[in-house]
Amino acid sequence: MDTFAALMGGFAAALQPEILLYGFLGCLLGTMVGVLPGIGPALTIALLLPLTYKVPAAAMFVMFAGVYYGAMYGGSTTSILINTPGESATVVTALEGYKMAKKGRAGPALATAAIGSFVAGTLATLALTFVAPWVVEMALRFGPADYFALMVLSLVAVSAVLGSSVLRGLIALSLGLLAGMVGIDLQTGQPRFTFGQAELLDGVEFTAVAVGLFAVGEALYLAWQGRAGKGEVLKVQGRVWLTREDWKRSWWPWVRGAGFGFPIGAMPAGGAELPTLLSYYTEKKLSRHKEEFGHGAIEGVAGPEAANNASAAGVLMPLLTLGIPTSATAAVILSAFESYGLQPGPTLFTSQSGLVWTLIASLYIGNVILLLLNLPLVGLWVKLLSIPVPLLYAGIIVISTIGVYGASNSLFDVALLYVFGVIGYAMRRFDFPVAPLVVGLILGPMMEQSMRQALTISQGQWSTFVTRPISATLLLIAALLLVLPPLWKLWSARRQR
Amino acid sequence: MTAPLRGRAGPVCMGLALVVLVAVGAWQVEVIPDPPAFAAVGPAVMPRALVIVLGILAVLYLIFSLLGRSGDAVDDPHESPLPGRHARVAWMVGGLAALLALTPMLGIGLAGVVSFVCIARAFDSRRWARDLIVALLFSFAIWYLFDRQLGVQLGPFVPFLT
Repeated sequence: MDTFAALMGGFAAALQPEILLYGFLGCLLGTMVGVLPGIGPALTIALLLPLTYKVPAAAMFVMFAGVYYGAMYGGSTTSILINTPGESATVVTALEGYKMAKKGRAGPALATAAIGSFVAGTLATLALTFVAPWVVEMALRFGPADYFALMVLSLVAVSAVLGSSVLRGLIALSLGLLAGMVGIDLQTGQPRFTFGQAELLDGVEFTAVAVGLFAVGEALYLAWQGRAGKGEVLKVQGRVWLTREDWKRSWWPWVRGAGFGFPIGAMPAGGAELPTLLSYYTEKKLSRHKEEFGHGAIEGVAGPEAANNASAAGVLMPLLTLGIPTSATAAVILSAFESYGLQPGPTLFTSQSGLVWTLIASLYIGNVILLLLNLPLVGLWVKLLSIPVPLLYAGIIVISTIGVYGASNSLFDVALLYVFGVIGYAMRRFDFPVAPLVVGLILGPMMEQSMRQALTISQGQWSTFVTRPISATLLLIAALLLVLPPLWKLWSARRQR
Repeated sequence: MTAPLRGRAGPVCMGLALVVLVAVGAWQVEVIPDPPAFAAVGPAVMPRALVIVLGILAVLYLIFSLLGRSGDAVDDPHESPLPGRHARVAWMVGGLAALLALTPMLGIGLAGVVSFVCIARAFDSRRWARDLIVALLFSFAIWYLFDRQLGVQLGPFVPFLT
């Protein structure tokens, strides 16, 4: 009942005209960046970070949530119409969606993606509403050692489980953690990795790193490659709606997709790729129209799109309840919390209860706004795909640079932006995952703080991390995540010989 | 089977860059001042541990690269660059450098116009006039939105007129 009352309070705040307007703007912007290739929610939110000085926290986070959800909705459009997934989470959508569009069924493909996103987004937000307070209660029992272990687990999971190589994932993570160490050490006041530069005493500017990796790095890579914009945009023929048969075939995949998306998205290594893949293969197995898979089966769009959106709500759960970001976008949102002097985690639900419940309520409202924005305005979103690629990427770089420059009025940060752009290019070219670097950068200082607090409490006894049951269990899981996949690979290779 | 030598060059360079980064990191760890007496764990503990871990990982990556077992987009038929990559990258880097160099003189807005045109060229645009007009309009719109509407201080759009 407490949860319900708090949620109603959240709705009352989220429905205030100013907050609603920010939510609407976020959804609009999110859908736009989801549709446009090369820009994702992490980059957009990072670019909006300078506004945290001007806009009240509740309005800003409602806007960020709109961008995050909107990008998930919008991402399906590029997958379906140009076979170019904006993000790895929509790769599966392209498999069947593009085939449907080629057969002249782009309308139903877009409709099942949008309605499925709405259904799954709402189901997942319901789960977030009622599971989050329970997680908070559990997390309040965590001490610094347990938090340290939880962060180690999250970092290992993000680096070792996602991506194609444990080695490259761990290198990206170590780079992020090292970048997080730059600046004055808060406990002792000693400068670290500053090279005598006053600009680095406050640490590496997070916006410069995130925008550099996502925007400048991507643009450099695409310019080097020279293949951007060579795809053909398919036309949306007929109505963007579902026939009775399409409804019948989409309904259960939506619900099952939500069932995969939320819990997996909420796990430290969950992300959105795994649930979309699981959903796709489950629908392929359960479908009565197996022969259509690979040639444009609607279940293959409905399920993964639902899973993708549900995972977005799942990702918000560890962020809000534990203060642990499990994706690059969540890491950027965490940085926004820090800009407001807020620390996500269990205490946020008591110290900033109004803000948290406004944010959760706005997710419900955002889902409705996005459904209304997506279906009737699909023609407009398709037009965005006709923006010439040279103008699009030139615009992305200029807006990124102005955004970073505006945050600090420092050309040093602009230079840093470009340095991280070059790093982003190299990572993309040599297949290093970017998310571990971004998550490591934001989580590194927090992890170090927890470690030092734990060691201060235990009077320097390192055994504190393995003698506490929660921390020992979490560290054991982290170790297994690191060791088991390579062992499994080795074992499988030997069996095949 | 090992990759052809051309395919190895990129990952090996990447591995060497990582090793150099580790060396710089190790040097910076050594110059972190000694911890004050009250600190249970000094400020160099975590950085030192990270540099050691990164060092091991970087060496492993370098070994894999030398053995031809590290990936490079150059070798992927769907990702490999089309002819003219050096010119495109040069335009791109030129655009970024122009923005950095010209901002103190022209302001971020006008420097953004020059950069916009160069970056558009990096994406094979040959329509200079269109790019210039779009760049001016876009740069001004963004400057106006950030500076005038959102209150983010960017300085004047045309500094030498104010």
